[in-house]
Amino acid sequence: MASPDRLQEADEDWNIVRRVQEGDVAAFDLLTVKYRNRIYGVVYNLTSNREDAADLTQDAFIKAFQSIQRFQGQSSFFTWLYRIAINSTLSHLRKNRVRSFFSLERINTDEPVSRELIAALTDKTGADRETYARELQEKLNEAMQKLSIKHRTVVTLFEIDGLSHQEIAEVMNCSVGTVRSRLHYAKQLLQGELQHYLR
Amino acid sequence: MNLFKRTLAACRKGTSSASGTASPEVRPATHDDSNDKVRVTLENLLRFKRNEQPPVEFWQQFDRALRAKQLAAIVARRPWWTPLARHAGLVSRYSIPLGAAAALTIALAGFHAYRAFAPARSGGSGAENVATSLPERTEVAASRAEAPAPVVSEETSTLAIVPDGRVVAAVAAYHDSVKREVTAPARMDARSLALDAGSETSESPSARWIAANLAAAQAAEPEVIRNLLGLSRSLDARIVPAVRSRAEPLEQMAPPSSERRSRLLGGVVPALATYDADVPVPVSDRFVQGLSDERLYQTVSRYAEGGQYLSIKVKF
Repeated sequence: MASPDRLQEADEDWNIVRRVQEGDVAAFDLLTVKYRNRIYGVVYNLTSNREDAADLTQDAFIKAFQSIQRFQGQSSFFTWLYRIAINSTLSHLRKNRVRSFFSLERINTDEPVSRELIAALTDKTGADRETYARELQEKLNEAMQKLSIKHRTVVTLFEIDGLSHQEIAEVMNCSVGTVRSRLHYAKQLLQGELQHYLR
Repeated sequence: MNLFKRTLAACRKGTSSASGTASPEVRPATHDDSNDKVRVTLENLLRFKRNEQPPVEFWQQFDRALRAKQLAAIVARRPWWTPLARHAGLVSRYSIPLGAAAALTIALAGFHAYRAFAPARSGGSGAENVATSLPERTEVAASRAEAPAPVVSEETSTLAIVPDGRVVAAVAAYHDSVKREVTAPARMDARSLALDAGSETSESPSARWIAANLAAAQAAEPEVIRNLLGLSRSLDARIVPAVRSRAEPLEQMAPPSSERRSRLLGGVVPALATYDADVPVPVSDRFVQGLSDERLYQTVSRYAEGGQYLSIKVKF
């Protein structure tokens, strides 16, 4: 069951979509600005490559813009856009399964959560702290890339993007039980990979 | 405990100001109250990845590139099959019945095409009525010769002029090899031209015109016509090779029963006492050439006769 905030958000999106369908092309920019950060974050965490993530995010918005006349509002625009982005990303990952390399974003260690986490992991300060954060970032991305595409998608959507099981099931077009199962399995694998950091 | 509260407040403040969008709820790291230190869990590590954010200038470049792609998508002409591909999703739902219907349609169309083609091959005008089996064609010619007619009969050609005005020309030619291979009377290549002014098989105006002229000429001067038609033998002999190529290969083949009979009876062929002119005696050409009368006499070891049969045993 979607939360009231989600429902209100879906109504707002639907109004914007109808404006675009009626010919107000500029209204699509509102949707772009609203969702570009989240879509980019999901795609980036799936690919661990910022250039690919930027291209795939743009392609997702272009596909949504081209197909918006066919959007009937049966699901929320948010779910529909996520599905487009994730399908494009999965297709890209399957095509380039062999050729994959990291191109990571700079991590913001000034954020309280990051600071607190790094403080719990190490006593280093200053430049050493930045280096340690970079190393942790690489290890995390490396562990994520060892997961299969489907498991990586579930972990990304649940743990990083904060979607519920139901929303993930709608986006990935599978059952909630499947989502839970994949999430459990993926966490087991990640725990094995990141055992050194868990305390 | 104070550290935990401060961290929680900072987390809430930080996430609401960082993205400005509906970012997911940030859960604080788990603390161990006993030593007041953050307990690092897998969830905390994964949440650490949320801080991998691109700089502000990245979004400016992103917006420019997206705008350019958007304009290109508006301007670009879509390929002609795009609407078809859109409807392909609906068609794919009924792929099995549609495929079965298509296969059935193709099968019916092929059957009708074959039926339309088959009579044209076997039928046709009088000039195209080519006989591949001499006995059948000679029967046709004989059946039409209702009255004793002046028949010019040759070994390789037959011409029958019927008194009632119908002209039947049956031209037959034995291939040279037929003379040597007694086993295959059916392999005789033949051509039978049936020109019948009144029949439905020769409906062409030219055939009717030729038949009428021949009938008129025959009525006026039968001797001249008979001599004239007798000269057509050389012409027929020239036609025969072209006809041979049009014979059906399957009809030229001897049936398996004939070959088996030839093989079984090949050894007793010298006993030509059982030869019947109507029944072809199968014998190979090589066998006939290598069999002299003297050898035949020496190889006959025993013969016996009964009421209806003559048995000859030959040893080779």
